[in-house]
Amino acid sequence: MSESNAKEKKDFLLNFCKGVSMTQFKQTFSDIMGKNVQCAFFDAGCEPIQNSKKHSQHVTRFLKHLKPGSLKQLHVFGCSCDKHCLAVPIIQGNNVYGFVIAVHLKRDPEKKELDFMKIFIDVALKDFQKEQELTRLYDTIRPRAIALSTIHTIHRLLSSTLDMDELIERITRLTLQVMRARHCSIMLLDETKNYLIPKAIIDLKNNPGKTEKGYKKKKIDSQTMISVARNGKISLTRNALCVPLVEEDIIGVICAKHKTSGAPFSRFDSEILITLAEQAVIAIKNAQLYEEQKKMSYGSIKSLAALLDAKSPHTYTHSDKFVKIVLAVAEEMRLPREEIRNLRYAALLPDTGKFSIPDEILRKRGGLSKKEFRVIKKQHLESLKILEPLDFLKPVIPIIMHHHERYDGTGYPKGLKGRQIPIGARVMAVADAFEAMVSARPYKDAKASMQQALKEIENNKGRQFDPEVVEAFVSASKNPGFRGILEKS
Amino acid sequence: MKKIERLFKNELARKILLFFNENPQCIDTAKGISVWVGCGADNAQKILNKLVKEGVLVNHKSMSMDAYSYTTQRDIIKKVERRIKNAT
Repeated sequence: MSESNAKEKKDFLLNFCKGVSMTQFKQTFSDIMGKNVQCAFFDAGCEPIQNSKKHSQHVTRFLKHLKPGSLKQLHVFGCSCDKHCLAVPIIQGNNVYGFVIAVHLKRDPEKKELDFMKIFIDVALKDFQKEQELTRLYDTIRPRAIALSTIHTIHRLLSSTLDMDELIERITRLTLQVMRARHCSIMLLDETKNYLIPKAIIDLKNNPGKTEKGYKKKKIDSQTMISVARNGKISLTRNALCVPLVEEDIIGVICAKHKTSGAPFSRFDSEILITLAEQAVIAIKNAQLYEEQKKMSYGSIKSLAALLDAKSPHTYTHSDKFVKIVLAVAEEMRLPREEIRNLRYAALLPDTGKFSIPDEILRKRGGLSKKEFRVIKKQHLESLKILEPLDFLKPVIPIIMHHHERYDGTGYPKGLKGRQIPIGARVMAVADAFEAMVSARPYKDAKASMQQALKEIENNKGRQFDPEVVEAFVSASKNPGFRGILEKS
Repeated sequence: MKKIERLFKNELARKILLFFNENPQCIDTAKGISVWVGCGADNAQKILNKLVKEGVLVNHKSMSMDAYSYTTQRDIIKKVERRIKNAT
């Protein structure tokens, strides 16, 4: 028997003797054979088991009565004080774990009592083994199940955003949490693959809870960085753990430093960080694809706007200033990200609705006849059909369609009122009017000043414009950035 | 320490604190944590909100879910550890 096997058996026996079954065994044994019975446990090498040592000194002298090779069977023998002794093996198949010796029995145990002891030990052994197996499973599986659930939660958290900046910061924060580290950084390789560009760095000690801004790109020159960022190997030291972000090729590295507890990073930590990095790469890739798709969509709209502009400059589109004003108001109102994106697209094509309106009506100075106004309403809706084939513009069309509605319901094309008008259209209506007032137009005598335009807008609050949007507009106009938009144009 | 003492008086809060102290790397939802500590998800949610408010847990919010993890503040962790040690 090898040393480790013997130790394993000894540990098994020690725990078995401590168990409830053996306490019951001793009790039952005493009930049957008398109160003065003393029991002690020995391992297969006849060494007393630690927790039965108080009886073992007394019982050990009876060991000499045991016949050699008798450990595998129940053995009854007489002791010096004219009483009886019993050795019950703790055995399973050919596996002898040890034996229990009971001394000072008042009488010879009967056969049925001996059979009972044998069965009792056998059942207790099986119960104990099952219990140990369950404990082992619990100890092995529970931490892994918790780790798996953590990874699943991280996956869900990372999948819920496609905004690259938000995503990278979220990965950094989650890494800090999972690694229990004080410092975490995510760096992506530049196109030359010679530099790492830090995308997010969080250091709880120096700058608690905030990412550091204004990073400088780092040349890959240290041995560790070459190993991780070029060769894709993991770097695990006492106080730092760096893992490559691999997606077909290496795209960057994620590093955690200094555990909050001061403990060293372990292999288990590296396994967790590798899994987290895999999840992060998928999320980063998705966000990159989304960014590309956004750029493509934006490019398509710009092309369309350029096409419309070529037909008649500034008839169907507005200036860059208009787009910036619309976005400034939307940001001030803290509109959802999706709504802001749709507004941005709508602001690039605000008057696509004019496309099929006859030129003589479009260029007419002075008031329109009822008939001409009916044509405008009809053609406004017709024109927007050119945007319908572009799926990504579906949420944008209502903004363009309804930005001539008035808050009091007297606008066109549908005469929508108040909150029936999409929020984007309400924002664009105010920006449209403001831009028209502050811009020079060939058909206008003079452009209004910013204060005059703002006053006019406030005068129409609740009638032409949504009061909430007007308030946001006035508030946004006080920002230095807003004035900058007007000055630059 | 008084704050931690107060939290430990609530049986479920005690269980959740013991869980996070034993598994500080865990990040999970209220439903997940309720499985690990053996309670209902609604009850876990209430206590988790309380523990976030007290600064013992961190809430990771996203559009579709809320996840929770143990604080990284060493002083709070030490207080919890001390409380657990005193109880055993």
